[in-house]
Amino acid sequence: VKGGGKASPGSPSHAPPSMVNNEQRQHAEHIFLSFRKSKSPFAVCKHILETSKVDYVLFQAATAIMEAVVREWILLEKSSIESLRTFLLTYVLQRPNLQKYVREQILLAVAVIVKRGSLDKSIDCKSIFHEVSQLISSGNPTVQTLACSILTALLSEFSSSSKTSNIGLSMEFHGNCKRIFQEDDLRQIFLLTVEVLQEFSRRENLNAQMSSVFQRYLALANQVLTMFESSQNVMLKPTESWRETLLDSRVMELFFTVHRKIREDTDMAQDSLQCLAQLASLHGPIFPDEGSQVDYLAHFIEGLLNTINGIEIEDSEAVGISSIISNLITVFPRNILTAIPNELFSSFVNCLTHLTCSFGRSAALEEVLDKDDMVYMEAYDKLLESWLTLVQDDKHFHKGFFTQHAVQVFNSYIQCHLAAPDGTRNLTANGVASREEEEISELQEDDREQFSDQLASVGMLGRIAADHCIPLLTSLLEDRVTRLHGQLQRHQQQLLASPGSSSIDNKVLDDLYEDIHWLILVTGYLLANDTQGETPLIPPEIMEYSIKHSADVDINTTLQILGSPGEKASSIPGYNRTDSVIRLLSAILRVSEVESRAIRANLTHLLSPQMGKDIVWFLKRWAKTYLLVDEKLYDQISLPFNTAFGADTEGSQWIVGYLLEKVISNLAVWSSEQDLANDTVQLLVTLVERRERLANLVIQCENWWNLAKQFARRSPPLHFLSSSVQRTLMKALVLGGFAHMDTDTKQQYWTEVLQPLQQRFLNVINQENFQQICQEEEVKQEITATLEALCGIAEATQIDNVAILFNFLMDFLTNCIGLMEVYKNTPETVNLIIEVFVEVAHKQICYLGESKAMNLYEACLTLLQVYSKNNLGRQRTDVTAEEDQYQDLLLIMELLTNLLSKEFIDFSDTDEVFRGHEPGQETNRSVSAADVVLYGVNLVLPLMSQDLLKFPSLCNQYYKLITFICEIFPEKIPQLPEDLFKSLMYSLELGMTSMSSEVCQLCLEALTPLAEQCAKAQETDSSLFLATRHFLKMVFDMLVLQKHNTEMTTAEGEAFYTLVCLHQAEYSELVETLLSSQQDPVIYQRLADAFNKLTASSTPPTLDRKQKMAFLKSLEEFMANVGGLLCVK
Amino acid sequence: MADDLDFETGDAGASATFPMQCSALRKNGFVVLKGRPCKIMEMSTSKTGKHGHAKVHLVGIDIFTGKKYEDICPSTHNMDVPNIKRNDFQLIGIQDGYLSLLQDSGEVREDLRLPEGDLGKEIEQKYDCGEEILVRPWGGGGAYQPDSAVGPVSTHGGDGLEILTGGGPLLKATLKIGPSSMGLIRVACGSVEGRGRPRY
Repeated sequence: VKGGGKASPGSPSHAPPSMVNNEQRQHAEHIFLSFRKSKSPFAVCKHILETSKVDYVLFQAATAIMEAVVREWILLEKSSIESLRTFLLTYVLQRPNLQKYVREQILLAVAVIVKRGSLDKSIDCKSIFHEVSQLISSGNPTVQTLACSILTALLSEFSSSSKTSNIGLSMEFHGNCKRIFQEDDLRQIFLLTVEVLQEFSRRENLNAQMSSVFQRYLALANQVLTMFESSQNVMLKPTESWRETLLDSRVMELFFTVHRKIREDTDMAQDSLQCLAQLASLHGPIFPDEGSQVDYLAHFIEGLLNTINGIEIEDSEAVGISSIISNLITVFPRNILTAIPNELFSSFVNCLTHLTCSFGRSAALEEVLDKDDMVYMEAYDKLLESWLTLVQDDKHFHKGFFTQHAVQVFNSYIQCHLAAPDGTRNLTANGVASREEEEISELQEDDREQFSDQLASVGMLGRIAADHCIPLLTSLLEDRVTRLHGQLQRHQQQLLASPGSSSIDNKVLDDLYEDIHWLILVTGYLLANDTQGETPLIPPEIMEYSIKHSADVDINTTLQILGSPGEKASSIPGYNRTDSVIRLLSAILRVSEVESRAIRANLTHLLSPQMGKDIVWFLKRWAKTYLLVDEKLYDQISLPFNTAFGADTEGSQWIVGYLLEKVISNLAVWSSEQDLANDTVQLLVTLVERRERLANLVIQCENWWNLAKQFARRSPPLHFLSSSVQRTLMKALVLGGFAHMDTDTKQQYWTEVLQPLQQRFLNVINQENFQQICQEEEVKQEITATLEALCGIAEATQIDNVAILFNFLMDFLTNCIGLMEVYKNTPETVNLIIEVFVEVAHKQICYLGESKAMNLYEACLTLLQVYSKNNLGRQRTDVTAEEDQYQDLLLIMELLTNLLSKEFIDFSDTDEVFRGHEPGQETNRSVSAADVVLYGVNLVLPLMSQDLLKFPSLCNQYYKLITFICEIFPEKIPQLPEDLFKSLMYSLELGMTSMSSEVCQLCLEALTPLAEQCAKAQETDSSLFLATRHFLKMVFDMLVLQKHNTEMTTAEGEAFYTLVCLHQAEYSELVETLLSSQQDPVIYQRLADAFNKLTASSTPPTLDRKQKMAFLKSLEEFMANVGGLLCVK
Repeated sequence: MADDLDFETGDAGASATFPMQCSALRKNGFVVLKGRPCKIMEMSTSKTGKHGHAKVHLVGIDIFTGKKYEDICPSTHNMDVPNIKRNDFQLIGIQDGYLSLLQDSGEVREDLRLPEGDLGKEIEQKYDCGEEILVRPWGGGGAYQPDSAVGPVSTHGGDGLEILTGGGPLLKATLKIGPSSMGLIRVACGSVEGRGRPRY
């Protein structure tokens, strides 16, 4: 092998790029790649290393050694491996001037040998630590650097992360190596590192070379301390064997000392802070008892306070320091925190408060300057999160312990978010206001989501200090409402005075909107929690606060404040004797009222849609928690709450009416603002989805009926709404129909809501000339609106209304199939029709009993048949054809997957929910889910092209579907028509060879049930049987001949084993052929042994779970022994 | 430009476009962008400043030429939506390279050229075999300029032509007619089932 020489014939450096053409470059690359695969290249590599002067060639030689050692490990004498390792290490030691990348590569080879050796107990690699410690004690910076490189290489190799070299062994092997390494070797490395750091921290003046060594060892220490990460969290949880090392207080002190020494060096400070953050997360068996944990924590906090008190924190320190604090608070239990000396704990909390406020201000500055790297924002987030953790479980602290701190943090948050003069928003450090109008795309998250974690923490702190925070928010909001009202009035007068003048400066308005925006968000998070699935409760702090003051509260005045959003709160006599929580709510209602009045005054163009969104978002959040407060859920309940929002009160009736009015007004005025319209209909859904109580109030409102009628008429303005909003509106109207009403009312309601839909639809499609007019825009719009409404109705499905809704929708589905025919050349309509079926199947199939499910299957089958008839054999050339087809196919596959989901999720109780709705029908088993799905696949397959599979979502959905089918109906596969069967098998083959690894895995998963099916059927001449034989060869090759992906082993192994069971003779043949092609007797023997061992535990192989598990275990060993062996050239 | 308005010349009495509020437009629907009838491929919104009003950004492709057009407008604005009609005509004869098509009204139009190439051959072949064939011209306002609809002499936008075989074997007989003609024509061969009441 002279590859190395050929590529760079004797020249000391690479040829300049201009002298090499592309072909030559590829040729050279090819030589190197094949060189690395050559067999036993050790002697050649040694020779190259000793004689060549070309760095790149040296690098390639080192790589070749590393790869060959792993590949040929079992063939090599142990002594020759050891001498190879010694050779490499000595080589590096003797050549201090090697290029860095060459040196690192050689050391990596050493590390890989050490690691591979740890699997083989026969090789002792421990001596390496002895060698390294000698290097360190040499005192020579160059040698010490080298020692550090060796340790770093070992750490990377053992860390079992992405840094680990791919040596074709199972993750289990890597995990075991790491565990053994952590016990002992890692500690040795740590001790060596600490020694070096101690040495350096004592020195006064470090020259450049010295500090560079210092920096390397600091980074190494960081690497050691972060090596204990378990799956997700990077916390320090070492075993007991580390006790002496880490509980030694000198270690902790050393890292504080080191940080103080280097904190102005941005890079090194990162490492030292990271080390400290790791030490702050120390937990687990290392602590023998609570006492030692308290001591450790107290000591640590002292060190921390000494380090940061009285210094000005550098930008680069903010995130590190907040991580340290966050780790302390997260990891140490409350009883340990409170067990440290009181004064120390108070100083700690004071320090936390101070840092939080200060980081918050710096984060605001970062936002003004629009910095790319928001370090203070990140630090602020971490500290606010720590507060949440700290105060959430406050029974360990005496009441009110955190109140003053909470006030400070809350105030500073508010201050940073309000405009001058009350706040500092958009002020640069020297007090200059900056204001930019930037383009905001719909993809940008709303503040309430983007800052939800911050807001949750601030809201929590606001509750703790409710006495301060609730009145503060109220007065700020009331002030802004008054100013907003005044400002809008001035605008109006200006407009009246000179219509058409557009010289209005909106800065004042925008500032007010932004203030109100943040005040509403904070209020929303303070008064109520985010809830998903559970019943939202009034936070206990808020309840207590209201109860505590209820003796001084005048209920009537409170109701008056609440019920008169059009008036200034302070104009109501006795306004100071009102419930503060209700007054805060009413402050927001006042904002809402100003908005409504501006709309009536035709000032909509001056309003902020963002503020409109905030208002309905708040009202929804509030209504979920407070409206019709349920006494049964609370120990005690505030009288003002109960009077104002309790069940059967005038207050709650009034509020429901008010909210409905708001919803109706918003839908009319803001139809062009999709997000706002969407938040608005979500509020409406909230009002009707709690059917037992709230919905009953809602449907008593005349406005509700008006809304329903208006929507049914499809008259402006509601039909301006975007389709998703229209769907949700339909959903709300349907949900409302299931509230408690007497039979007549209910009858009347459905007559107003659902029947018009049906009637209008039937009127359109039953016209004599429907065929002729179907393309007229008016007709098409009517059809589109109906289809959208049907999707909305399906969305409203719940277990207790599915019977009615299913029957209602079924009538439509039948008609929809007719529409498919009429609109076969109108792709956008076809697409929407399929979507209706997708929605109905998605929401209802899981509730349907046998006969109803059958109806749906039949309808879907007919739909697919019509679609197929109209699209097969058709080629469209217009520009949107591919896009249209892509969308249709995606929907069809979604529909099929939804139908299949019945096989896993089924809540039906043989038409239980339908009992009493109609006379029992004889089940006519004409269609099964399998038929529909297979028919659908039959339809989809010919339309699928390799081009379409390039759409990732389509590709994944497609393979998910066919894997499902193979898993659920393996018995149907052999009965498929020949063409369909062939395309299915071809799809699987394609998926295994040329798609993503995710798809490959799906295909492998599909093979197991197919092979099992063959075994069951015992037909040795079926095409499925033949196909599985082909797959056996494919999987065999994947395992034995191709570079192995360890993530895939389980899926491959299961498929492989089942296929082997099915085709034992063919398997033996494959093994024989492989063995007979081996010329090297040693390799032959190793392979033969490995194959024997592989099947030893399962001879003869049977489809027995226990045997299969044994096989999978042997397979792992097999892969470790021979995986990659056959890749040798 | 004269051809900017071509698609608007519609049937007597039927308006070529109608207005719709921007927010109510839908992806896959149609809209007039820069004077051209387009299918909406993308629709997104943005606003200037956090408290600004929504603007809609539309990307559409010309249904005749495949050319991409974009527009941005306040979401409260009304946009023109083209009235798209698709009609089926029965093929009753082929003469001198022109198709004779029977309209629903009973009138015969003979202004559509038989496409050149494989598609044309196939149409001829099917017609000769006595199969019933439907032709589906596709245009804005239900009409298009006869001579510019097909034929290599046309100077308007390019288009395609299509054969439908109603579930039979796939015919890859599609071709471009001329560099730039404007009507899009689909030719359907085989069944006429689609013309009556749907049967299923």
